[in-house]
Amino acid sequence: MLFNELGRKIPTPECRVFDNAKRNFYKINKPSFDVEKQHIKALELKLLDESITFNSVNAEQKALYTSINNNPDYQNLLLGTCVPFAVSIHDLKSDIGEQLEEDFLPLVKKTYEESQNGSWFKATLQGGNALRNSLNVVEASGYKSFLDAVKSHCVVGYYFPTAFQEYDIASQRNQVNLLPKNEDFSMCLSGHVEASYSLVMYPDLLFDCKNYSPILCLSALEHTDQRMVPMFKSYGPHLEFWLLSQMMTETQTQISEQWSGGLTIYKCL
Amino acid sequence: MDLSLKILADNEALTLEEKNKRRDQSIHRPRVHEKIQAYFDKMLDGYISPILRLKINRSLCNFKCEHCCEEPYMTRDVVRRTGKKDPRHQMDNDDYRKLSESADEAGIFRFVLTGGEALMDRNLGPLIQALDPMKHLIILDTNGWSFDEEKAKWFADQGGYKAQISLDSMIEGEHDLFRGKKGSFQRVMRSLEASKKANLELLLSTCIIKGRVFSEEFKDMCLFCKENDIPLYVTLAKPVGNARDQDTWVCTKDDVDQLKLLETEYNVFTHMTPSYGQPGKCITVKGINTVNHDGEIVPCPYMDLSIGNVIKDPLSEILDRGMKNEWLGPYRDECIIGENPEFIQFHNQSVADWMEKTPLLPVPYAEGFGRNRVVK
Repeated sequence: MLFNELGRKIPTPECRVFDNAKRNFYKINKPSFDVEKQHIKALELKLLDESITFNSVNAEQKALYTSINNNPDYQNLLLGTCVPFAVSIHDLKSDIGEQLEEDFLPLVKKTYEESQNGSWFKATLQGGNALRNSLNVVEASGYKSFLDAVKSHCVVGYYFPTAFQEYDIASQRNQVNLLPKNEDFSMCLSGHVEASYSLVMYPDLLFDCKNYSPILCLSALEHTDQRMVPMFKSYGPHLEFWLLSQMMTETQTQISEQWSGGLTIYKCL
Repeated sequence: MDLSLKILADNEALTLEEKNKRRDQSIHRPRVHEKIQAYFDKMLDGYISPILRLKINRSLCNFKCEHCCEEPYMTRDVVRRTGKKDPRHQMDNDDYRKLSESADEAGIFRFVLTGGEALMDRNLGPLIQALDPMKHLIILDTNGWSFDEEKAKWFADQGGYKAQISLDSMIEGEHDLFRGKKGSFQRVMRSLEASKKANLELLLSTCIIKGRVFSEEFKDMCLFCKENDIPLYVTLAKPVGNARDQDTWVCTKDDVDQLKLLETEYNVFTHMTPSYGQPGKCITVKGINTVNHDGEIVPCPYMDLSIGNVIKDPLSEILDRGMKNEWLGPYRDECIIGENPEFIQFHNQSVADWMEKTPLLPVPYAEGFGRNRVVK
């Protein structure tokens, strides 16, 4: 068993994590998914090629769910929050920062502000840093293969945003590479595509009037300034994107109960 | 709705007013300006420059407010419970001078003078000089009772930078009743004008209990501040001090979320509002620390647990220790003493256990935070 009953990776001794206790103060309430509505919206927003049918996506998504559920190593992942997705973006930009600035963040802003009356979405970059020409894929995170697949295929999968909750950023990046490989599906540390997709489909994913939500670190991406980490977080009824320093002190990186890295499990259609 | 996405770099996130204030400091207080610049230059490396909030004069106060978290520190309460004053060494001007020097070395540039009512301290002038108002911004917390034109001018002449005046309700009778002193509302209004006239930076502070943020009265206060160009600083009633048993006062997330909505329309903010290129988060140790009369450093105005005594240990060592505490250093969105049940339970249990041994707060490091995990 690799994941606990909260759907989080059980830390191994070499991991730097906030705690081993199964605290659940920061949580994402499981949204009620409507995959058909999701499919229509994805087509409208050109996140999915128009030739892809709902039935084909739905069948693959169900098969993938069954594969995860039948796998003793991974089945507990389903106890945490998981967001189903299907994307095919053939013109995905090679500059991740430009893609975020020009396409994904404006889309997240539009859908969030339209769905949440009186709330706003803001993006802030600490230290005068930029996104353009500054974000790269972390080697061995598996994210390069994921992005290649999104460009050339329809990728069907599940985003588990809290799989690496409480891990520091370095441990998230180390751990994903150590997960046992599987013939039924591919895996990667999560990044901007599936996190943005999830917030576009379910704008209130991080908003709950009773609970604080985890901060979704896009740990598959690294900035040219290694201190910086891109992330989505809620601010009460508002939603924010930050490029935030991971330095907690002058000698230690952040290790927080609230910071979370995601795991993405997918197949190509 | 503005659909265009503005990506804000932190220096752009500063208002024009903030930029002007920084520029002013480069002329009036070059050392303060230097420290502010150093803080912004090194912030991304995890460098901190918290406010030091000094509780002075045994927290003597002319009021007795229902929600006060300071009451257990006041001589009147200590005498009532023990029959005598707090016997511990109380910080004197030499101690404050040393604190000012070590704070300066650590890049700290803000002191808040508070109590009780700081203006009741007859030693206030020499104390401000001991702190060195050319090296630090000196900020005064006051209930406004005696902060008239003459006093405001005196404070400004001493090198004072800002007045933070507290008001509990926009309804005059309600505020006076809460404070237990008729006329206190009008005195607050007078002190606001006096502060402006003395050219002091100014804010109005108010404490909200559960549900108040949804009231017409609170909206009136926001409007009053907007119309008079006064920032409104909101604190959340905490289950400590006089309110330890007042669970119904404690704000929940919906109160805090409503405040965050109001921030868009009004100049209203809490200690957890995003500012200076930092996201809204709990600011224990990294943003604010209280220095008790006896030198104990408490990492939040509303806690009763210490992270060390500045008379005995170096300030930088104490702050470093605080940042390594599992509750205090790591990133958290919520106000832990106001909203995190596990922390509130730990805090109040530590206080209860300590109070069985001695009536004097705060709880020393070894008996409270010293029992938590250290972040490695």
